[in-house]
Amino acid sequence: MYEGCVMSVVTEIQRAFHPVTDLLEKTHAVKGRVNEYLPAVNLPEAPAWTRKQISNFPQLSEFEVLRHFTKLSQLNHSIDGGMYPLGSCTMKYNPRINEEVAGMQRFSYMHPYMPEVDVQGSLEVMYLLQEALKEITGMKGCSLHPAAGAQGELAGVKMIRKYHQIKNNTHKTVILVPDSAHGTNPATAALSGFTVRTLTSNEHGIITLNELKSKMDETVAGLMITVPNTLGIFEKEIKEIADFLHAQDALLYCDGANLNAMVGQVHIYNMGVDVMHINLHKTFSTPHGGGGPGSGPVVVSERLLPFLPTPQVVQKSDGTFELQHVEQTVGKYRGFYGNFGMFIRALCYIYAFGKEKLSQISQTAVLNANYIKSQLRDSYDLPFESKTLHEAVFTDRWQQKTSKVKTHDIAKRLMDFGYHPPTVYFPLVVEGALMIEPTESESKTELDRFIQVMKQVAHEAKETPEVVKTAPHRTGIKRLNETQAARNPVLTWNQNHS
Amino acid sequence: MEIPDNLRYTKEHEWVEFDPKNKTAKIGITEYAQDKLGDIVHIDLPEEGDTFNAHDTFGSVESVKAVSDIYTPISGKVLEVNETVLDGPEMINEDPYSEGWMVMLSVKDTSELESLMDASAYEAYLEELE
Amino acid sequence: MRYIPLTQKDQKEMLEAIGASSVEELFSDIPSAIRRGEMAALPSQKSEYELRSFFHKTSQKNVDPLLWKSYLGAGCYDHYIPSIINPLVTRGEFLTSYTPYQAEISQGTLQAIFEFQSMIANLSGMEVANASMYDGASACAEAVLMSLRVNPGKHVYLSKALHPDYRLTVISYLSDYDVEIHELEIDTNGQTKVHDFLPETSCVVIGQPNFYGVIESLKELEQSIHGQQALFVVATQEALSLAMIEPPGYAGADIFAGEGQSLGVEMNYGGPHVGLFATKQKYVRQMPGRLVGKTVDEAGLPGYVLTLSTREQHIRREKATSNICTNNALCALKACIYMACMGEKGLMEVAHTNYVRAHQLSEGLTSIPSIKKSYAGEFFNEFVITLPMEATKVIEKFSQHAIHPGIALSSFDPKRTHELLITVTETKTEEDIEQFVSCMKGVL
Repeated sequence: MYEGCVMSVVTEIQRAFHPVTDLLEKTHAVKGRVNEYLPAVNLPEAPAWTRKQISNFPQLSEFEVLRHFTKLSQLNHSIDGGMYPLGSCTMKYNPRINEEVAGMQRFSYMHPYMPEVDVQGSLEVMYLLQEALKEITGMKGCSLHPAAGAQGELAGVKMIRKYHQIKNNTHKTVILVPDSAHGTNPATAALSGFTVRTLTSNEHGIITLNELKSKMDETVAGLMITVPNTLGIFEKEIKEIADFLHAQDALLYCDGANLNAMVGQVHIYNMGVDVMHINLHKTFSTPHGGGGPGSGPVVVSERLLPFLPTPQVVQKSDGTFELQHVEQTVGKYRGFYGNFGMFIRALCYIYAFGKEKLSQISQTAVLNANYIKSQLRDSYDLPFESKTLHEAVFTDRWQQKTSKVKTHDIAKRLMDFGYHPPTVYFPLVVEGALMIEPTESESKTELDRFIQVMKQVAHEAKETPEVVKTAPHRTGIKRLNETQAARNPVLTWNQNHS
Repeated sequence: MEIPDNLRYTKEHEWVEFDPKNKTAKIGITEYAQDKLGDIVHIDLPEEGDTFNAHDTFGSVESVKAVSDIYTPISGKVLEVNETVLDGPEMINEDPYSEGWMVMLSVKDTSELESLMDASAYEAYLEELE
Repeated sequence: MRYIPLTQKDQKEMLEAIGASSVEELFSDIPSAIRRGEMAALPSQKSEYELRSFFHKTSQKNVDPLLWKSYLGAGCYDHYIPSIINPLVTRGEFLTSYTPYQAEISQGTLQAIFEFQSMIANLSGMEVANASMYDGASACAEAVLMSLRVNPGKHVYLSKALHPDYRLTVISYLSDYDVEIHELEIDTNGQTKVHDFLPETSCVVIGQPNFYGVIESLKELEQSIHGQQALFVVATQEALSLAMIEPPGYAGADIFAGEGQSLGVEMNYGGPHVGLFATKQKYVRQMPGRLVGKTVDEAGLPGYVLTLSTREQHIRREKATSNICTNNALCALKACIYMACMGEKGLMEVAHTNYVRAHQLSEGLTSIPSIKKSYAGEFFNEFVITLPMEATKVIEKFSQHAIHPGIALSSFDPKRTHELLITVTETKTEEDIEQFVSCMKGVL
């Protein structure tokens, strides 16, 4: 038995003694409690037109609320509680100093419409982050505006669109996307009015200049490519690809989802990139928060400088900072200026490493991933022999063959040992993919423990496949009926009774 | 796996049941298709009166984690839509060739039927896939 | 580096296991021409002590928001945030978990989202709500995109009194659609005027309360909009108003999009906030964003899962209902806890306090003969006044008293030089309001 089991048993016990509460759902009938968060006031009676009630709404004491959400939190796996080897998601440690500085009331209580002279500190933080992201990537301009990676993609593709519109390249209506891309890439291109044309990865898992040439014509406006790609492989021909695109007046979009492998290693601008979005919640460690908030700044080459989403922060000659709007901007994609709360966390993370140590992020992340790959290659099928950087993609081919154990089953079994499963069934170019990204945060001891558990699951898949196929066994809740959830969606507690 | 003899098939795993008297055709997806998709949770179908050319997309079937387009095997106009599968898509899993039919078309060009596979050709096609 | 646990010895052992002679060798696929050299423009590494003092020092270049009285609103509000929210959301189990794709080990986040969806649906009077959007402006743009899917058309109408950022965001999102965007004028009450729409109108978007704080008569608008076969989209920039005003669902809105920052989320200089999105059950498959549904596990125990995910980009790719991937889950959790601890009564009381305080200030100011209210219509917690001098001048004078008196409308429309948009929340007392009025008398 591995230590992971012990942790899971604890979870199970917690669940047994503290069954999930439906307190919020059930207590709307209890009246007569008032929460005294604010001083008592003598208010005149509300006008006749006002709302009389909010149906099915809770009314609890503060302690009941606190305990309810504490119990809920205990049902979650988290990076704090255990390894989260989700490929493509970069689940790294979230230092608490970041939370502390972002929580300083002189940052978090600032209103976006305060006069600029009163918010010089906030503007300086934004300016410094813009400059840091430019320096890390070598790019020429930066806007922090987009709310998340997918919105950064949208702003980026809109900039490509605008570039062609201004040059009257109306025939350029196609965006090329590799078959290994994240789903957001084609979705974003379609949202920006482009048609998507797919590039096929070769037997080494990369896009070649030849493949590009075979799909290229004068309608191509640009290529959206993830580097290193979703298999963790560096796109070796990227510079040639960029030069070829530029010669045909097409632009290069780099999806920055895997920047963690490149920090301090790759000069993004010299790669020939025209625009890249950066997921601050991946590379720069702003917490994932159960699915957000993220933040998706974009960095650009000279070609796209005039079109950056609005606003940027500039430093005036007297040293003060102001918000600036470029004339040909692709506009706004959200309210106000960006997710400031995330900017400050990301800046704090970058400064904690500084210019001396920042490249240790990518060095360690890549070392960790390669270590896992080297230790598991005898237990799981590796679909590509190519050199990989920050993640390792395996498949369930061997397990499927011997005992019909699938990726899905392996994923569920890992939970019994206290691990979050890797990313499964992605990228789509690999059947039954298991994509592991350990990040730089894990110690060798933890990696070794994870490797042992992965080997154990592979062994079980051969010897006692039923154990794997019916997992998880030690989580508080078993496999959920997703079919029922989708056929008859129950999306609010109002529907519970109908 | 069941492959009824009286039906014609496409490579996208649709079946066609042609009624020569009325020149109508019922369309559905095969046992193989429903098995690959898994539990079907939702289905989108066209409206009565819509017309399609062969190989047009006329709807989609969704399982929990996948969506597949459905193509019209032959050209025609939609005469009837199976309301039962719209309300209870599980019928397609349970009875793909009968109760799980999707739409009925009036067939525009009966010669298009010739290009579809018969049961033995479809069976051979499935063996190739496996 | 304190965030990286590997020792030199670990590194050596791992490299041996891999069969590489150095870490550098692992990067050999990257051509030397594109390697990053020294990042000279970055500062040197800072210890935790230095980080804390650096950010503390930088924060001192902002004014102290606890000493200054702020009457700023316009889509971002200074509401009281109960103390239990932050300790709960900063629990590592919430803070450092990922999107709950693996339901068995994410029940906490999933149930909290389900509760959020339920409370947002009930607060807005709609049938179903999603697990959150980025913010109010992008939720509004997604509402228009969804309208175009549900009710395809060539025209979209936006009220002129919709928040300017919401309007600009809709315009950016739609810039590559074959759709014309029109504006609806407002009357002297500050309410949107209805008229005949062009044929093939997909939807009409109304702010409630609108940018000028005025409460729209949704029921009248609804009749005209639905009478002309367009979808009725209601956007709110101030979610707290829902606890007092008849909610959009009761007025027949098809889609509700809004900003939830008022529900326990810090102003954060404009973000992160949390977008709200709700609609009718029959449109649920056209919704953008994540949804959590209730179901059972193999043992029959109730549990929650992400559901209807075939709408989303990771499955449907270029045919997805939206490209959204991340949402604002942690801010949604804040809103969820806020609503739970305020409760039905608490929320209604706070909303009522906002209404009363704003009306007290409005009355105090309009008792000054040279000040007029710009609009006659009923309002919730913000209103516009017309001053006898430039609003920016007034703002400058007020800063001597450490008061941010409001937002000059000239920042949105250069012609409106003399108008000030003022917001009053429950954080202001009667004494504050008296001080504001006497300052104004002094300035004029």
